[in-house]
Amino acid sequence: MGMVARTHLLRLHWRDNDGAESWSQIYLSAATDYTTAIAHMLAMRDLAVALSSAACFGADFSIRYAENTAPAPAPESDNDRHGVLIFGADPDLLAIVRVPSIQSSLLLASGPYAGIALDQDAPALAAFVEALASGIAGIAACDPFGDDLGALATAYMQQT
Amino acid sequence: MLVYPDAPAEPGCVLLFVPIELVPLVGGAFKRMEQRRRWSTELDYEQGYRAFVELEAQLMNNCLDTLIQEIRAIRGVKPDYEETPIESRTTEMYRDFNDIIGHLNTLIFYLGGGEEHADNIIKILRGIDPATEERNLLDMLE
Repeated sequence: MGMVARTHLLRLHWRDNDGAESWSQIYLSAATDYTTAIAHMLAMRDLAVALSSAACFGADFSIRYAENTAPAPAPESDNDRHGVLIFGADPDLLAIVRVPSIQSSLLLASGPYAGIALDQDAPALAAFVEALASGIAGIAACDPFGDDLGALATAYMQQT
Repeated sequence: MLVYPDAPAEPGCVLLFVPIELVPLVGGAFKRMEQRRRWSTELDYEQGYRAFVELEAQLMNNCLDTLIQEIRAIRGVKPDYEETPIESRTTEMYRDFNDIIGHLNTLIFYLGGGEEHADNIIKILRGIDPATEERNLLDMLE
């Protein structure tokens, strides 16, 4: 089992007069460097706009990897149960990272938030938080707006 | 799509009591508001994302207990109950606010050098005799 490269995916996002959204998908060879792929995406966007009366409001470029064999999920797994990690010290600059199907063993067993709060001292969770906030492989994560995540503020389980 | 609303001239908020067992479901209900596609513009998205993640964080603040503890900390525990564990204390085990005013009187007397300062400051604190630019708490302590 291992992660293998798949084709790059370019996606153009469209919105019509009713607010309905759709997209165009274009694939590029996995060997394409990302600078070339982005230039291709922007050029294709200009050409596609001439074909559609909808508004092209965004574009994505995804470098994709996938497992070369299908790993089996654990019987108790449930993606409607998320671990949510909320980062930041300033209440106006909080950011969230979600972990689907959080392990039940990571939930605190006592205290006012028993069964809801995550055990931030659990080694697996502490290592994940440290990698997000302080970096791993030479880089730390940021929030959707480019700001540093900062320290972990709270961690708990949500259900959707 | 959503437009982030303008704050009113006098900002306010609503205190909502969420039963603790509903925290995972209420938090999960906010998840959709973290998505770019829900919001009209990038600015709406950033404001909306920040606001709803803050609400999700607030669900873990145990706010009412924190508020009660803050008020009790200001009042201070009575000497007879200092050894009682915090979680076992009741409201009667804490000093009355009138005790605090008594201590405040003494403190202000020493700082300001006279009873008249304490009387005036307490009137201001109680809103009986509002502070003005010419008569404020700091001036009274000089």
